[in-house]
Amino acid sequence: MNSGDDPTPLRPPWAATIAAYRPERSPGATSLAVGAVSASTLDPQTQQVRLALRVVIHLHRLGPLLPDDTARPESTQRGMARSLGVTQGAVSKVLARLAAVDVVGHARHHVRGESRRMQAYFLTARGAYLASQGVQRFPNPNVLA
Amino acid sequence: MENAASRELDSRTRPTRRRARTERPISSIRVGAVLLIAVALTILTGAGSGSARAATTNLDRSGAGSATNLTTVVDLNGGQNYLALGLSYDGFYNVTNTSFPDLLNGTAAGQLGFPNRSVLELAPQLNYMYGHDSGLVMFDGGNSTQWEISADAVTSAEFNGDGVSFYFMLTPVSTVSWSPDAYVATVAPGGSGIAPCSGDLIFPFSTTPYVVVQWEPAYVSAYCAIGYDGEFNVFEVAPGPGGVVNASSITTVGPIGNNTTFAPGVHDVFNVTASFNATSDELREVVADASVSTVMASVALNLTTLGDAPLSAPASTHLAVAESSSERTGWGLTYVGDASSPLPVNTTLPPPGPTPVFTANYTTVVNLNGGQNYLAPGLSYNGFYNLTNLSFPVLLTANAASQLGFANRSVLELAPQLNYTYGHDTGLVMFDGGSSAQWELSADAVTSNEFNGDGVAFYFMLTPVSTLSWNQDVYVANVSAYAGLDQCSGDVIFPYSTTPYFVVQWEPAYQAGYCGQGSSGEFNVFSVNPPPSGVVSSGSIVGVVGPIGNESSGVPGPHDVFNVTVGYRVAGNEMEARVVDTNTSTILSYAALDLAEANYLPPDQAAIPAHLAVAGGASDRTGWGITFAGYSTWTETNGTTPPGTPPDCFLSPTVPTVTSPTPLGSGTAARTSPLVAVAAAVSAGLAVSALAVVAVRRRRLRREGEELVAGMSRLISEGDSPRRPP
Repeated sequence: MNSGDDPTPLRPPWAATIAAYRPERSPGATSLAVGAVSASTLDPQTQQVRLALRVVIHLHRLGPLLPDDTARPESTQRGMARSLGVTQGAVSKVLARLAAVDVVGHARHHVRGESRRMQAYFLTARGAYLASQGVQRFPNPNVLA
Repeated sequence: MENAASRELDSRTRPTRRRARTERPISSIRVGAVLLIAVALTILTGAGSGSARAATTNLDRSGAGSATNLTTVVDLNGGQNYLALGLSYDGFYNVTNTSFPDLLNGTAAGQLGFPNRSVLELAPQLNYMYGHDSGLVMFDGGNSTQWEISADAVTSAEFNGDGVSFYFMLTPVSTVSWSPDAYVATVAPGGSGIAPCSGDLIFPFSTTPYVVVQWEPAYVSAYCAIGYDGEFNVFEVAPGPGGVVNASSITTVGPIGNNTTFAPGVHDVFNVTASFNATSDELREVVADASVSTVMASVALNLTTLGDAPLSAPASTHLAVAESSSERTGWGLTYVGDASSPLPVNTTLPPPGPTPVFTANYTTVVNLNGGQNYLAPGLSYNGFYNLTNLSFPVLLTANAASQLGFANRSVLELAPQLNYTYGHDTGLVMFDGGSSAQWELSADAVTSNEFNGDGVAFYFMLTPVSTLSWNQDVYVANVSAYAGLDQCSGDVIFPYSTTPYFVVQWEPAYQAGYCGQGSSGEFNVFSVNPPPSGVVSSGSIVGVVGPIGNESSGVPGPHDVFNVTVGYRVAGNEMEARVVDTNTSTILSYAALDLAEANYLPPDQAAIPAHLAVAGGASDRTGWGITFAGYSTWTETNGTTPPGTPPDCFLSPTVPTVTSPTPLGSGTAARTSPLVAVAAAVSAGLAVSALAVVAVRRRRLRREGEELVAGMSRLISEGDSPRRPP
């Protein structure tokens, strides 16, 4: 045998399982419906949606980025994270997803204040459309934070 | 490394089961209920003698009308919870600590990846490892000489793996102990012709010879195969004294069966029916899509073709249904029935065709193992440096290697052990891979004193512009910035080339060191399409996919040696990559990809570029060297597959090891059969490397991206709903 596991005594196969896989209910599952809500109390997916919208609006405010432009530091992952007050990892995840569906694009640019070229992000047409709608609904996107 | 692997696996796979088991006391009520239902059904059907055979119901699933003695063994369809009395179970587990088969109710099945219906779970949906958890259900087939077993088999939320198997004429030694009374074999290397990706199969100990027929849909779908000439393997098992089964007890043939191109999907239900006539030695099996009642695959075989004496039926035989160990595919049953007279298989079954045999032609290009100092003539080198002013690769003697952080052995240093800076010094070694349509490039990669950084990269289809100018004929990119890739991806060197090429980067930093933990894979793939001048720039990198692959189960350490192998075949435009810890022969990481997903199109068959290369990853405080590099091409020696078509699972089961003897002085030092024989022992676990995972991160990103966009659109149209009063 290729395993050192001890054998278990015979038991009917149903003995272990049927009730064992009962769904677990989270005691806080209904809490979102009441009271003031901050982003930290939202589920991760909702948080990510809100961050995505903030990112899109943020890039919208930075304006277009042409191939030979020197990018603003806020258009890099690090700069965006700093501006939005979130971690670079969170921004990176959102950007990856948005880039995968052509909401944002990215290219290596000279960045103001940086010695080497870095990836800078910009909105695509799809992203610009989303951003224009988002800005109308959330003139102050900080409410999404 | 094995311990690390176990810990890694534990942390990912066991919690669910542990949680499940903590609630076991509650199950006693349900157990009683199930037993009650089973007993009641048994009584209602006039059975109840304690034998599965006696528990015949009036469920005629065959549609054969007067078919004789159809016995239902398991029926979980239509709200029934019928398990015949007298069933016995056995299995093997080393991951979940759960004794499969497990009976899942609808909710439990839904949570564990199956459709929301009751299922007798034979194998859980887990990432593959050798000795995957799976179980079999056995029942008394009576004293007939012909049987037919029919089962409705259900896939879970993913399909990547192996199918179900049927056993005829077992006389089990014991049915009371999981694992010790069965032999688990990786069946791929067991017999000539059986393809890799066959997975692990349980062979119960038995005091009589028996027959197993394995339906293996992975041969025609998922990552493993495209268009293999059959989906079935047949095993004739002649146990030794005491019923003990081992590798020498098993005679195999496969893959056989008619051609099929169907691909199982998730939550599919298949009716699989196998019949065996012990008098004529005829074995048949048919797989039908249960939803459309369409025959998807079938096979017919006379066992005398295996060359063994015909089997004689024992006085009382057991039949069984089991699951082949799967890669991320759970299998369950909703129905099992058997007939002691074979039902006609109303299908015209073509005779099995000859099995193609492929021979690998090995070429060693670098071998510094065992005191050798072999660098094949005609190798060319290139690289990038801005710190050391050295043109890597650098050949280090053992003494020099030990001073520079490597173990005391000769090393072809690809990247030095330095603190990271953009444009880290690194080099690559290139060689002509010859005229072929399929390669497998393998290298033994060695870490230095520390492990903190990036791994090695493999290049296919290069046509280098020049091999003489360091820093000038290469483009170096920090690939962390590419969308989708994890940070810490490091720098990758992209040589200038007049033909499109692709790069497979093994990036262990994703799982180890300061950077990793949590990435879903360890490989990045880059597609490069240079302009006619061959000068690569950022715009030439037209496709990036990563990280992909199964989650690594190992953490590199200082002075570790890894065998990294990447295969590519033009025909399918597919690549496979795996990393093996050469100390333990453990597969640490695996990935496969249809390169079209990386925007890489296969070259024109008439003008296939042939250069291959290995480069060091630009690393943070990790030096990388190689002690061995070689490649193989494949040729077919017989069979039905058109010449030039590579085998389906093309990563060779034989892995060049650090002890491999290679003749000096020849650029094409053939690897001889003794080496293959030695490596074959290792390959038992490696051949199923092909059973590992394809994790196409890009596809997931797209899906998640669309979800994000949908969420944003909702948020925009509905406003900040959480702030509204409840």
